[in-house]
Amino acid sequence: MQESMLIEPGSTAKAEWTRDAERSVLQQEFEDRLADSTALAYRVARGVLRNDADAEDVAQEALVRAFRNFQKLRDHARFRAWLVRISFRLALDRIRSAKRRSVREADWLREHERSRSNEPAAPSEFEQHLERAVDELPEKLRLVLLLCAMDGHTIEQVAVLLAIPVGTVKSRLFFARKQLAEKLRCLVKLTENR
Amino acid sequence: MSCETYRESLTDAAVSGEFAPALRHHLTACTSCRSAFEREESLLVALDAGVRASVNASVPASLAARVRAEIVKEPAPHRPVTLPWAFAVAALAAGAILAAIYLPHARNVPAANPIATLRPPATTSANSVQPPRLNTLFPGGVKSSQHDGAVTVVSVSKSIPPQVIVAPEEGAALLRYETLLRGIAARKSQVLAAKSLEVSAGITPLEITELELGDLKIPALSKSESEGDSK
Repeated sequence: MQESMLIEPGSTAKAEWTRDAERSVLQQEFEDRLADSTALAYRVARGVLRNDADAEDVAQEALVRAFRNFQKLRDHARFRAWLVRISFRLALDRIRSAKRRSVREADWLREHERSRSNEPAAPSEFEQHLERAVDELPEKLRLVLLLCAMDGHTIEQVAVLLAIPVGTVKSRLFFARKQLAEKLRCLVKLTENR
Repeated sequence: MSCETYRESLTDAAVSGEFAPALRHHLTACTSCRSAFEREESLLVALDAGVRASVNASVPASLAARVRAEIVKEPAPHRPVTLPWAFAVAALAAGAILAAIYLPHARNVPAANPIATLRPPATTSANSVQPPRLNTLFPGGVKSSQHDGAVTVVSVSKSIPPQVIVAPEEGAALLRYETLLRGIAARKSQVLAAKSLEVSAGITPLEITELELGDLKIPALSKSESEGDSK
């Protein structure tokens, strides 16, 4: 096929070389961010899934997706916030798809994963209720609760991460904790009466 | 004030850690509410500890290595073409093509016969610079040159865009189009000429003879007739 004058001869090789160079720069930039972002992606997923193996899979998928679309991200300073959202969304999707499976299969898988990763045999009654109560929280409240519970995350940092005002973070955290307290109060009373 | 009025604000205070002065005063006085408040606080402590435990698990050391291995497998990313940029390029290309085709029509030939615009200029003045090869498709002083298999069409006229680069196949297509239009114009003129000959042979011209006008004579009325009428 003939090429018009606008395309120089040998430009295909040059374009390939440029693409390779771009890729290596992009990969380097991404790997620089990987060191402190892996833990973030994993912890967000772990907070939602409460399972090490699932959280690891979700974090990996979130990071690979982030790499695929890294070039589309206009403001690379927003990378961590972007990654939090990807990881949180993927974790929720995984929970929803797991709920669709039969209870039997899910129970077997959970037991299998726990035996593999040497987790405690069974969570206490309080932990089970807490997990259920956290699962029932609205997504906005839940994400703020998880991020604020993460080590090294202040309310101001969470506000920056989610690009929302500090006041909004505070109010979401307040309502999340209040809803959890209201749901778990009955359990505490029952335990005290026993 | 009874303890029930403080129940809601008791929970709010335990969650937020902020106390209204009235509530603070009531808590110092009422042991029942103080113990309820302490229960709320201990519940929140357990709750926060549970959430922190689920979130702050140690990150597996293999995760970063797994991600790096997956990234290496990923194909090279393509620079995304942003929509405004693509739109601007498409608009420029379309504008250039339209200008190259239609501007010579508008400039040099009356609109009644657009096919005539494709005719090459009849004469060039002695002082004007002769282009290296006249492209008959663009009669408004347009020259074309060929480099490395591509045809570059350069306009001399100021009214035409300064330079249009056309791929060889597009140039050939335009030349074919020109030939086609010339053929249609020639056939049309032949048909019209044949029809005018047929008309002149078959019908005799209409002859109109001149009308002859005679003098108008009006006889004068007698006096007795005019009086009888009045009675």
